[in-house]
Amino acid sequence: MNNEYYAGLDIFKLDVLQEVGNIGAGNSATALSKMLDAKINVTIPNVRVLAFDEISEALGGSNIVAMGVSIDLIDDMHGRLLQILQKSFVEKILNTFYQKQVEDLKLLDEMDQSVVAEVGNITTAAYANALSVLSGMRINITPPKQLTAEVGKLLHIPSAEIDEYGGKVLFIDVNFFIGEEEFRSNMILELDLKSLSFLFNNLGFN
Amino acid sequence: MAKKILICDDAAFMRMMIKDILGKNGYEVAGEAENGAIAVEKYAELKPDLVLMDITMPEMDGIQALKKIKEADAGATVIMCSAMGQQAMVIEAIQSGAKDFIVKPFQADRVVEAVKKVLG
Repeated sequence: MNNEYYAGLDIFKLDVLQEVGNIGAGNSATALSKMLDAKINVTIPNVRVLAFDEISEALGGSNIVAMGVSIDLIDDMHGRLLQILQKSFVEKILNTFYQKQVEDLKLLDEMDQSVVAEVGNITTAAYANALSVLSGMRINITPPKQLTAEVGKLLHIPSAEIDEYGGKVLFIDVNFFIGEEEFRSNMILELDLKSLSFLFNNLGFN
Repeated sequence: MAKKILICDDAAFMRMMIKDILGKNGYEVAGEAENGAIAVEKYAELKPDLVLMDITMPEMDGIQALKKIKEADAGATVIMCSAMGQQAMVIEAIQSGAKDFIVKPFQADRVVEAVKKVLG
């Protein structure tokens, strides 16, 4: 059902989702900038509706190891926001707070993971808050779940709000600069049918 | 005597960051809690002058914990500290008895300002 709904989106609704991505990425970059106490320049995010099996390739290949921070959306909207953080970005985040060389993401200690989870929590909440303001809906979030693994596995981080995996998702690709260094971050937004419908209704679409 | 503060947040890193800010400004961290249920227990045990409370936590969220703490001690002083800054949530927190609401991410001086306002 989810497949058909996303497939049936007309150009106006796709434009709305692009704007969700834009505003979310902008708010998220602002939050990140405050946390890292650094100027961050964001390019216009690339927002696409992707099939589940297209995501690994979009992230650079199924063998890429990354950290996933997953947060469920609850209250008026139901779904999940999954942020994918790759090694260079994780290293940059950690080194903002203390010196840390990251050879292998899977070898990070508890404090390192807590740092990344909290940065992920705050930047993801920025997306949720942006969605809330845009849609007029109350959106709450659950505590973050975190996993470090090959990207294909990150998509399967359990979510109480997702009935089945394999549907389509909103894939947001953000390139940004911290000083001269360029990083990439990805946000995957999965919404249930009712929430998508509610979102568009609240924005004046039938 | 330094005022005692209980820090409640599920992220160890955030607890560490807040502890550092408070310590540098002359406050004593009485204890830490990683979820709302532990926050309620620790409040009863430690009787801090102030609680800094995250909202999104496992076991029991910060709003529920705030309500339980206020039920047990109407005079409890609690400041919420959360990434969820939607108006409805801020209003709910204040109506439930929170004295202030700090939205994450925060600058250190926002925390200090909020704490000074309630504790002096």
